[in-house]
Amino acid sequence: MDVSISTQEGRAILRVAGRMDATTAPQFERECAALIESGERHLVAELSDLEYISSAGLRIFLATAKKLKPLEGEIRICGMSGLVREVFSLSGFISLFAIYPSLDEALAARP
Amino acid sequence: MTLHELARFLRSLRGALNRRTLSFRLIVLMLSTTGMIFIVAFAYNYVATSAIMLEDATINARHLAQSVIGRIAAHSDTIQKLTKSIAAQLGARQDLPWLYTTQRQLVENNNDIFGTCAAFEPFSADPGRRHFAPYHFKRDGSVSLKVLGGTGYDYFAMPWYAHPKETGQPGWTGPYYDEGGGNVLMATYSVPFYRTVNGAQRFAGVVTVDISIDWLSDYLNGIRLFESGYAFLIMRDGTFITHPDRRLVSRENMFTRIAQSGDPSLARIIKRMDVEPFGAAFGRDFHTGKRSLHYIHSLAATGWIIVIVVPEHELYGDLRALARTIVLIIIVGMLALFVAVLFVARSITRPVHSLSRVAGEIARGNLDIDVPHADLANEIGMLAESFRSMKLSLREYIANLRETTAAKERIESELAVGRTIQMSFIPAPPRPADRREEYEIAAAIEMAREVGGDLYDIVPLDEDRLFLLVGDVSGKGVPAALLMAVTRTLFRAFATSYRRPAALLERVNEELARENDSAMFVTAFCGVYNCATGELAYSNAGHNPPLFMGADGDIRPLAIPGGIALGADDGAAFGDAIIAMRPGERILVYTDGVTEALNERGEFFGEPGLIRALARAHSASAEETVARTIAAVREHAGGAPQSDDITLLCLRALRITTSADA
Repeated sequence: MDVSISTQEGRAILRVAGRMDATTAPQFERECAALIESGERHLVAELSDLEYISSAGLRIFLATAKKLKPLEGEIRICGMSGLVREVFSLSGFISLFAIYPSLDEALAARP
Repeated sequence: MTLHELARFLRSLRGALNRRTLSFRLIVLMLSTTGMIFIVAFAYNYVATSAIMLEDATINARHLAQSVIGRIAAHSDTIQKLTKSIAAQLGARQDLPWLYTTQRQLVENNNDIFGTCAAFEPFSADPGRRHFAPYHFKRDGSVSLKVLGGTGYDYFAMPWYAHPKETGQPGWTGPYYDEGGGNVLMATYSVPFYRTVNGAQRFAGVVTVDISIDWLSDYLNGIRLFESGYAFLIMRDGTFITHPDRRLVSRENMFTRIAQSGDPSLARIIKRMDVEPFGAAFGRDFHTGKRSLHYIHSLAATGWIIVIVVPEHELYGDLRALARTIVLIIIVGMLALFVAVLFVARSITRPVHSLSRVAGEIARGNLDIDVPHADLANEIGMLAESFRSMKLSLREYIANLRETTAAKERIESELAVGRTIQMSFIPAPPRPADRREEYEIAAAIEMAREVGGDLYDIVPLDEDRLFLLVGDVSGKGVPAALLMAVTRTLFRAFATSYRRPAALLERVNEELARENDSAMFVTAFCGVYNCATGELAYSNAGHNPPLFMGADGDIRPLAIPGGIALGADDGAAFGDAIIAMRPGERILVYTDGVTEALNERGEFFGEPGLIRALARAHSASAEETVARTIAAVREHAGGAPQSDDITLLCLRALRITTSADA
């Protein structure tokens, strides 16, 4: 799994590629935690290159969202496709997050 | 050297001479090579030197012979000339007074001349006498005359007379001792003389001169070659003229002696003297019995033969002494070489031995042992250096290994704890005694190495109702196992209190979502099966939809009402659904460990794979369905490790007693 971070329009964008499972999820967790630590409140996870996500990966999204909530921040998710979208929807997580088809839409959306 | 030291030395020597050791091979190789070189050089030297010495000895003998010949020739020349002169005059003169005067003067004036005789042919000097041979000779210091010949002394047949007469040549005869004289050794030179009778040369007699050859005997007997080499003279017929053993002289014949106890090759050389005036041969000396070099040379003027004898042991005596010394030097040198090679071999093998001892120690795990320092300039030093670095890397490796092993053990023990927790919260598989004729139920859980927090439960609620649960906790390991235990406990606690599965899920979610800082969650499918009506009421919390399998082989995912995983969102609501099952129909509830099982190429088993596997057994029992599914997953995975728990629960309706509508 690769995570690359950039900033655009005041939001930290995490582009995640590869597989996010029990082994690789902690890495994503550390990246998110580091961003929150450094003061970022508005994160966007761009998942168009993510091939697979396990429940361990879902947990990181949930944990990050839980951390950001009291800080009045949020994590938006965009670019989900195929299997990843299926996992989000099956687990019902799709209702927990702000989800956008593309990065542009995620950035453009009003809070 | 004490006895102890000696014993130690012998032990090390025995060690060095052990056939397999490097030392032994080194010693054998070095000693055999140098020994071979020594032997070849020594043998060549010995053979070449002995040939040179033999040649030198032969040359010496020839020089000696030639000097003897020169002496004898010089001596006999005068005698021969005087004799020939008398013979020549006697051919022309008849008068006896002249003859007598000449003879007397000859004897008187020459010390070496013992006597002289003129022997006439029968009736040639005096027609009245058959024998006539006036002989002047020394006796008691004066010269006497005696006329030889008569019936008692018929000289015509004697060699000194007959030989010149027959051959017409002068010649030597003898030697012999004078009769009644002072034991003087003599030889006689005879010259024939002729007179003209009726205009023709006629043999008229022989003039002889007897000479003492004592001087010759003394001279030859005084000759010494090497220690005991000697020389002697013989006549062509083998008669001894001189010999250190005087008893042989004039009495014995050399050929007879040779035939008795000598070397016949000498006789052959002497017989060939006309062709080859000298020769040499090794052979047994008839006189001393020792193997000797014989040098033989003919004295042409006299027809005598000089024989020079040198014992072989004296000829080669110096060489043999030299050879003994050289052999001694070689032996001492080889011993020194042996010691030197032993020293070198041990200086090589000692560090190797100690290295191999150290290697043995290292192999037994003693990594604190010191690797001996060797001279760094040579291969042994390099070997020692390699050993040292090997020891260090081994030590480092083992330290690392210990660390990682400890870490691994920690992980393993964590895994074991997680497993133990999970195992203790999984119900025993339904037993045959619990079977009911209305339905079949089967369940199995295949735990991954690191537990994935799968759970299932089957709880009879009353006579007809059966509670079913399959869940999957997010994450792995001990935290997942603990949450799994909590979840199952909550379900068990509340299962009987809620008639609607959705309400049960809401209740459990409420408990799990409260203060869920770790953001862990559980996907779950739960249902209540009424075996009387065949109705399965169910609800789903973010779990993958179970498969419905109709009796006709139709397989499809069960329609599920929406619902989020338990613990993720407090206050989440869940929906209820119901399906009326007919006999032979099955429901298979499973966790994502089934569909997300990977093969070695990283491909998921997937829902289509699962459906394909199940399609082959559309009338299977619940137990068979579970077993077949597990087998299919394993077949798909091949050698790939199982990364997540696999849980299966299959319900098969068999008989429905009450119509749902009724």
